[in-house]
This record gives sequence, C-alpha cells and structure tokens, in this order.
Amino acid sequence: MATAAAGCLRSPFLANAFSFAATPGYSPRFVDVAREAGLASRTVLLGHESKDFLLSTTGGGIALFDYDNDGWLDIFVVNGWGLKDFPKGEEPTNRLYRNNHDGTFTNVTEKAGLVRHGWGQGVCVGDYDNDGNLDLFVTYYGRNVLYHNNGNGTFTDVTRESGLLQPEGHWNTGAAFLDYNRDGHLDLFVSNYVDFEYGTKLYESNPALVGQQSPVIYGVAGLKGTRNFLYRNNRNGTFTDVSDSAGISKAAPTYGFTPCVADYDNDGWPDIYVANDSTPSLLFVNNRNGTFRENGMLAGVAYDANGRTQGGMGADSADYDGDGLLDIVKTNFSDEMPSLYHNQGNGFFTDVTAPAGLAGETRSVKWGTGFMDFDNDGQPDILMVSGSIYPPGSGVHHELPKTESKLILLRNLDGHRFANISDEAGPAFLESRCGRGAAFGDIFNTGRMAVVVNNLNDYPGLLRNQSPSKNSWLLVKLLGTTTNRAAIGSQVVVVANNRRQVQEVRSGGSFCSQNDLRLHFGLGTAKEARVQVRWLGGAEESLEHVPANRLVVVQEGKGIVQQEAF
Amino acid sequence: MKLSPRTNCGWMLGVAVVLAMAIVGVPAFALPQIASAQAAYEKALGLLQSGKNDDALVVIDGAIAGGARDSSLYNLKGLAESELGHDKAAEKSFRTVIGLAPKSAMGYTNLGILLSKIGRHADAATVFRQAHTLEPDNFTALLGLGTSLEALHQHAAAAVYLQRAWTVHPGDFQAGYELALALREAKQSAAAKKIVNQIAAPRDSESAVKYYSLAGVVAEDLGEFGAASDSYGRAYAIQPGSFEIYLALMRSTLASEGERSPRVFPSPPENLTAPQNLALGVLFRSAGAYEQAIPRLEETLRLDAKNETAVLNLALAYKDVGKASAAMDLIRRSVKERPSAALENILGGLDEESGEYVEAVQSFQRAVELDPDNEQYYFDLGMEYLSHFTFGPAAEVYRVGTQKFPRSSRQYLGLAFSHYALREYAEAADAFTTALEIDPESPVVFQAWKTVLSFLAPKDWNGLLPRLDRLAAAHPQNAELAFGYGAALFRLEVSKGQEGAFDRSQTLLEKSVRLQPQFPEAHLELGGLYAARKQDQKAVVEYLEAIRGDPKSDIAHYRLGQVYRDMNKLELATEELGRYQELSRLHEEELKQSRSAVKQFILSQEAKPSEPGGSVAH
Repeated sequence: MATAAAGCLRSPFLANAFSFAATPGYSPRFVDVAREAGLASRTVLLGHESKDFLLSTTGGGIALFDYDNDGWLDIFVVNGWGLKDFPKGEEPTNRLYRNNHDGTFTNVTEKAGLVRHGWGQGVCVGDYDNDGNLDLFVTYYGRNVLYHNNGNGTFTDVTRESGLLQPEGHWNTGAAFLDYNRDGHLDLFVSNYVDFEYGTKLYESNPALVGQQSPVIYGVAGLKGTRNFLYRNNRNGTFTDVSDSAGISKAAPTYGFTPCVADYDNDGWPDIYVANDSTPSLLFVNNRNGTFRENGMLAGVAYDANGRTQGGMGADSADYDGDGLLDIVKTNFSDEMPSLYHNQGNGFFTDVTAPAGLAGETRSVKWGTGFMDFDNDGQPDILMVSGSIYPPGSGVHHELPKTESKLILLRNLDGHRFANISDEAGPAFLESRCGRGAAFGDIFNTGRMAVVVNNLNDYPGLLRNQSPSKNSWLLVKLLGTTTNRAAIGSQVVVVANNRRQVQEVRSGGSFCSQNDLRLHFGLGTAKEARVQVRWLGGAEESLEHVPANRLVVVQEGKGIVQQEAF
Repeated sequence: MKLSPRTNCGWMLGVAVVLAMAIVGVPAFALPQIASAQAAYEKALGLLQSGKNDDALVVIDGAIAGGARDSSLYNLKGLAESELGHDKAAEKSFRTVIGLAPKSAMGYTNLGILLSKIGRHADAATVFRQAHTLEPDNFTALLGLGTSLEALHQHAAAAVYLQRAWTVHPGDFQAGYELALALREAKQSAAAKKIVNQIAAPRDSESAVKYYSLAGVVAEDLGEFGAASDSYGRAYAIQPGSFEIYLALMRSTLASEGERSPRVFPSPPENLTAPQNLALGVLFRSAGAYEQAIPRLEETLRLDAKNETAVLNLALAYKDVGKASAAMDLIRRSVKERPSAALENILGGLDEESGEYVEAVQSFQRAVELDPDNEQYYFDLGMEYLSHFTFGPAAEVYRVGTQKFPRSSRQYLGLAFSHYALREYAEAADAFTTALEIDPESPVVFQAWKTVLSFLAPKDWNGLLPRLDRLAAAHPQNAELAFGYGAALFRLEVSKGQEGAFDRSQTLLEKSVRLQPQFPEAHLELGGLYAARKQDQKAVVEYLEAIRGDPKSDIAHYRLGQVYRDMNKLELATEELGRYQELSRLHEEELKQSRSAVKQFILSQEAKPSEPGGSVAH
C-alpha cells in the first residue's frame, strides 16, 4: 500500500543495526559473448600514424536501455571518428543493437535513424517528455544531440528544436538526466572536459619530448578547463540553459568527465557529483530552490585522503555497507588508487579507499565503473574497466601492455572491505582491452547482472555472468506518474534477510555511460523481500512480501502493476 | 710550498772562525810548544781566511806532527778539512777538539755544523744538544739544535730552541727565519707571521727570496691572499726564473680575486716543462681563469701529446669558455689514439649538453667498458638513461652497478628510480630499502626512500617490514628510521580495515617525534594514525605540529580541515581548507618545474656534477 509522506526529510537509517544472515559467496565467471551475440562493429578512434592527439584518448560511452519497451535491454554504443577521412560506406557511426531475446542482438542503427558520424563521447538516457519512451542524449566533441524516441523503433534528432543545439563546439563528455527541481520533468546536466581547441593538439605522454615537438602537451594539467552545463526542462519539449542561475557555472573550471547524480544527503533532492580529471571533483549540493552550491572539498569527495588531485574518470554510487546512505566509487588515472568515499550521513564523506582494500589498485587507467552484486549475496561488488590512454592503432603504433588494461572485479567481503578477485572472474577478465565506458544491467533477463563495455578500436565486450550463484534476486522497475515517467531520482529500499539495501534510479554514470534503469538487488537466501519506494517528490510506498527472483514493475501510487519471473 | 730550509752553512763557518779565535789555557811545560803552536795557528788562520785551505792544512799538520795538542789548532784543522770537503777528516778533527776541551761548546757546535752540512741531522742534534747543555745561551747551539730538529720534522721541539735563539739574538735573520719556518710547519702560522714581521728583509738576494717566499707561505696559510701575492711577487722579482715561486704567485693572486682588482699576471719563467705548464693550466682552470689556462694546457700537449690530464683539463677549459665543439674534438682525437675511460666520461657529459644524446650514451658506455671497476661511470651512464626517460636500459645499468658495487647506495637509488619509472613498484621499494640499509644515516637516501610511502601497495609492504624493523632496531636513536618503519606498518594495518592494529605503529611514530620534535612528516603521519583511531583531538594536535614545522604543507592543512569537519567545527574546517587551496596552487606551480620524483632525483644529482680528478698528478 502506498504511504504518503510528502515534503519531509527522508528518515536516516540506523547504521548497521541489523545482523546479517550468513549468505554463501559464489565464484564469479564472466564470459565475453559479444561476437556471438552480434556486436560485430568496432568502435573507432583514429589519430595520425605518427602523432597522438588528446582527442584520441576519450570517448567510448555505452548505454543499456529498453528503447522499444519490450522488456529487454538494448545496447547503444557511442562511436568515434578519426583525423583522416574514411572511405565512403565505412564511416564509423554510433550503433544501436536491438535485443533479440535469445542472447543475440541485431544492428538497427539505420532503421532507428541513429546513424551519425563524429567524435562521440558519452550517452545518457531519460524520458524527457514523459511519453513512456526512453529518449537518448549523445555527447560529442563538437555539438551534442538529443534524440526523441518516437515509440515506433525510430528516433528523431530534436536537438535544435529542444534548444540544446550548442552554438559552437564544446568538448562535451558525460551527461545525465535529472529532475533537479522536482517538477516531474527531466532536466539535463552535461559535463565538459577541456577547451575545445585542445582536442587536436599534439599529445605526447613521454615527458622527455615535451618542448621538443611544439606544441606538445603532456597530460591535461595546465590546459584551460571548462564549466559544466545544466539545462532546465521547460515542460514543452524544450530546454533552457540555467547553468548560471543554478550556480553550476560558479564552480572553478575543471576537466569534467562523468556526472553521477544521487541524493547524497538524503534530503529528497538530487545532488550531482562530477568525476573530474586532474582537477578537484565536484559535488553540487541541491539547495532545493533551483540552485546548487559546490561543496566537494568540504564534503571530502574532491581529492584523495591527502588532498591530492586525481585523474578522475568514472563514478558510481551505491550503499556498499548497508547503512542506507549512498556512497561513491570513482576511477582514476594509472598509478593512482581508485577512490571509495563512505557517506557519513551529514553531507560529508570519508575517503576509505585504503581501509576498504582498494589501495593496491593502481595499475592501468581506469574508466567505467559500477557497483553490482554479481553473485546476488546482497553486498554490492565493484567492477572497473581499464584501458590504456592510447587505443591500439590510434596513432603511434600503440600496443596494449599485456599485464594491464584488464577488467577489475572487487568482491564485497563484509560490507567494509573488498578483495580483488579478477583472476578468478573468468576468461573475460584475462584479456587486455582498451576499455572505456561500461553499462551494467540484467541484459539477458536471468537475474544476474551483466556488463557491456565499449573498447576503443576494438569490438565491444558483452560480459555474460555465468556465476553458479543460487542466491535470490529482485529486479525493480519504477514508473513515475507525478514524478518523471522513468522515475529517475527515485529510490528503492529492499529489506531481505535482515539486510537493507538502497538504490536510486539514475541516468548517466559509470564513464559517460548509462546503466539499466531497472534496479537489481541480490537477496542472498531470502525468498521474499520488503520493498519501499521513495518517489522523487516525496511520496513513499511500501510493498511487503514481494517474492524473489522476478521483475516487479511499481507504478507511482499504484504499487506493483506488473511482475515477471525469470 | 716547501722551502729548502737550509742552503749552505757559510754563515756558520764565519761564526766558527770567530770562535776558533778563543784560546784555551795550556799547561806551563807546553810553553815552547805553545809558542810554536801559536805561530802555526796564526799562520794557518791567515791562510784559511785567504782561502788557501791546503796551505793552511800543511802548516797545521806540521805543528801537530811537531807535538802540538792545541784544541784550537785541531779546530782550525777541522775547518780547513771541511772547506776542502774532507768531511771524515773534519769530523775526526772536531771530535779531537771535543776530546781536548770537553767543557767547551766550540767543538760540539762546529761538529754539529759539519754534521748538519752532510745531512746527519740526528747526530748533529745530539752534539748541538751537548753544546747547549754546556752553554744554555749559546746561540750557535740553539740555532743548530733548532734547525736540526726542524730537519727531523720535529717542528714543535725545534721552535722551542729557535725561539730561545731568537731571544738571545733578536733580529737575527737566520734565527728568525728558521723560527718562523718551524712555527709554520707546526701549524702555528699566526705566530710565524709575527716573527716574519719582526725580521727585516735581508739584502742578499738568496736570503731575500727565502724571506719573501716564507712570508708568502705564511700569508696563504692565514688566507691573506693579497699579502701572499705581494710577498711572492717580491720573491719572483728577485728570482724570476723560479717556477715554484711563480706558481705560488699565481695561486695567491688568483685567490685574492675580490680582495683586489684587476688581475695582473706577470710573465712566467721561460722554457717551462710540460709538467710545469700543466700545473699552471690546472691552476688557472680551477680558479676560473680559463683564458689563461688554455694556452698553458695547449703548450703542455705540444710538449707532451699523450698527457691525458692535460687533454682532460683543456677540454673542460674549452667547454668553460663555450667552445664545446673544440672540447669534444680534442677528446675524440685523443681517445682515438689512446682510449681513456676518464675522457670518454667527460665526452659523454659534453655530448649530453650539446644535445647529442645518442653519442652521449655511447661515450658513457665506452667509459664503463674501458674501466668497468669505476663506480662513477656506471652511475653516470645510468643517469644519462634516466634523464632521457629510457628507463629499461637505466634499470639494466644500475642492476649491474649494484652487483659490482654492492656498497654503493646511489647505485641502488638509481636502480630504484628506474624501477619506479617503469612502475615496477615492488622492485623499486626493494632497491630503495637496500640503499637505506647501506646508508641509513644519509638524509639524501632517506628522502629518496620516503617515495616508497607514496606508491607501494599495502600487500607489498610485508616483505619490507622485517628489514625496516631491523634498521630501526639497529639505530634506536634515529628518528627517521623509526618514522619509516612506523609509517610502513601503519599503511599495512590501515589496509586491513577494521582488523587493523595500530599500537606498534603508534609507538614508533610517537618515538620518532620524541627523538626529533621538529619532524613535520612524522607528526603528519601520527596525526593520520590518531584520526584513524577516531582520536580527533590528538590528531588535531599532531596536524598543528606538522603545520608548525612545515607551514607550507598543504596535506597537513587538508587533513586538519577534514578532522575539524568531523568534529563539526565547520568554521575552522573551512579556514584550513582555504589555506590548503592556497598552498596547493603554489605547489602546482612548483610541480610544473619538476613533475616527478624521478626528475627531482635527476635534478639533485645534476646539482653535483661529477668529474674525474683534474689534479696535476695523474
């Protein structure tokens, strides 16, 4: 039954008040089935045969979303471009793969009207017009594109009409739909990297050559940073740039990559964390009046534990320790630890990277990341995607180092510490790939989380989860009515086996990518769970004795309107 | 400059002649003989004074054959024999004098003079001491004893007697000179200077040269290079052919830069030999007078084309005046004829500065091949690779270097930084720790070792902890080693999460700040430990100490801000974080100059350029 509780602060959770029933841990096993599944096109990113450019290093977003509302996740792969022209007919384009429901996918890009050439960077998904069809926003080095989902398997580029057409080129990166003013319509946040002109600057990672080739830059440090953008949905299919009035542009220029939207301070309003490269990461705290204040440094999420700036790439948020507060994981550059920030509940975070066991993960540049419970034991694990700075074949005959650029799987041991189990995670974790974005979701509708990875100058990776876990699970899809249709920003709390888990429906995240909007919960040995939904806007409803091992669709104000056992 | 302390004893002969005039009393029964002996004595004396030594001996021998046993006569005989170079005969005569007049100092002193002349300084000292015993204020005895002891390098003892002689005959040049010399040799140059200032410069040129030279030496000892230059200049004016004096003059003149200007260099003696040209060339170069050095060194090579030291110094002089190409050509020509590790090593440096990096590596490599037992050459080769970010070869060079020179901490540092640059962190940590084990008291090594704290994964600390434990135990008063071990232990324990045990690391870190209260890094680390143990107030104290010791530590301000935040002291937190931001901006500027620990290490090494010895002797 729905319980109205509008306009008040969300009740804070008691930290670890419950004991956990013993849950068996299962070995992971991920197998890359991309080629067999039909993901047969490579993501292209080409530089010049004798030089490297900064633009050769970014891009690679990927999205999981059900574009045709058939209950199965489809895959959208952002593609890149090159510094030379391509033969006609061989120009790389973004690709949409429709899920055939049988473990295979069909390339429907052209049919869907999504063929486009350019330096694609990231992607996010949201139903900006609340018509029940998930729309697509693709960022570019250049000008972004908003695709309206027509509901018939096709999309229409409505960038200009929506007011999102940028008058000049930008180095856009990650993006996220969010309803920052809780008016029931999705707004849009877009990160920007460095100044547009630097994209085609020579880029040399060998500092010995700095000054010997001119102009050559080594790393982004010292380049002109940029500001992020917030577009308010005008509720009529158009957007207005409110970056200034909302306070977003007041933050110092940074090199932005991935926004990760969540209600970090549990006040019912979405906040925005932005993982930045070589500049402090930002935490825009929602003031609940249409404005934000940037509080990353005081909150403790801007730097590492020593106040050192890191090369932040991707980010995700989840409650890894079951205290009811959304924590943050961030990937960083090579020779830097990833960051794990524990939410203290007062708007502040503590950097727990070292005590959580992540201090040794310094190999490779890490990009896409996500919390996912691979074995459904109820404790979110972490997966990170590695990838060398230079994609193979992008410029100066780069080859992937054999010992690096591999996927990383960190098992959540006890809600406090993680252990690297990559070597035991299956064949997909043994290969070196130049990974970037990753999207997490129940792609095969099996109750097990799978991952799709965008690899540069390579085929995507589709990691099928073949873990022998017998643990239960629950997949929750929300449909908003008062809140935005996709329920982005709404939270779900699942209690099973005396273990509480909270997740939030999120657009964007990982590395410039988009996860399944359905929320997946591992339930351990539990056969049922209590499900509490906190709709963005304040309404709450609780559902008791929800059976495990199924998808439940919960509509705002109506409870479960559909369920399907897998 | 070592002066010849004695030249001839002519002055002593004159004294002896005067003393010989003393007539010792004789018994009455010898009066006729006395009359005869007296006549012989006077005649012989006259002949001696005329330089007719042989004739004088004939007269004396005749008198002795006639039964004369006069000590004065034997004394005269000794003098004549000595003048004729009949040293044994002279010694015999003087010993007869002693036998005949054992209570007279005359015989002893004359014998002493003779023995000194022929270099038997120990014997001379003995007889002079006997004369001194008989006549404590006997000037000759005092002077003779002093100079003999001086010749035996017993400078302090010599000075005692010479001081006494100087007191008996104040103003006497010889006494003053010898005294000043002895004091100088006894490292009492200030006292020597006082004596020198009391001596009037003698008129005879030879003595005057000695006097001015000694004055110059003493002034140099006291760092009074201008005065030394003046003195040497006067000596050189008298004796312009003396290379030794010229060298001393040049040395002191160059050293007196700043005391006077401009430099005035007189012409050197003519026909200098190759070693002499080399000595001047090296002197000029070491004093920065490159334009003067070059012709000397070029002349050296003209006279001695194979002189490697000259090649080396000339090449460096060419480089110093901006003629790097000439320097490199010179070395290349030389090594083509005669391979030389030292020259190849110099050439490597020159190639590097000229931007010829490949050639530089090849030169350094050749130096190593030619002299594989020279630690410097390995180090330089490795540095060349490191400075050009060719880390694999650098690691290989230092790997061999550490095997050949297992007690060289800097070889291990080079290896460590190579591994670090190759991101082989466990190997880097191992090498850093070995360097520390070799040289645990070295601040440079410890600074380098601390890099490990920033990059080593917790799982890799286990292998190092026993070594750090042993180091800390072996040096219980070393605050830095206590800190290093404590910090390593702390990091490992932190990685264990809630199971981490911090007691031991806390003990070590507290010890380090107790041993060395001004140790900001240790306070910072200890603050982090207290914060990890949720002892916020103690953490605050330590962070404040860290800031007090290093106000520019942005990390300390950041961490303090976070602790204040956790204590809900938000104003203080904001203040500290604001300070952190200011410092962070400053550090970014500095980091642009030296991006990495590797570069910092390279820069620190380049501040101490390595050159093989360029001294005269090779």
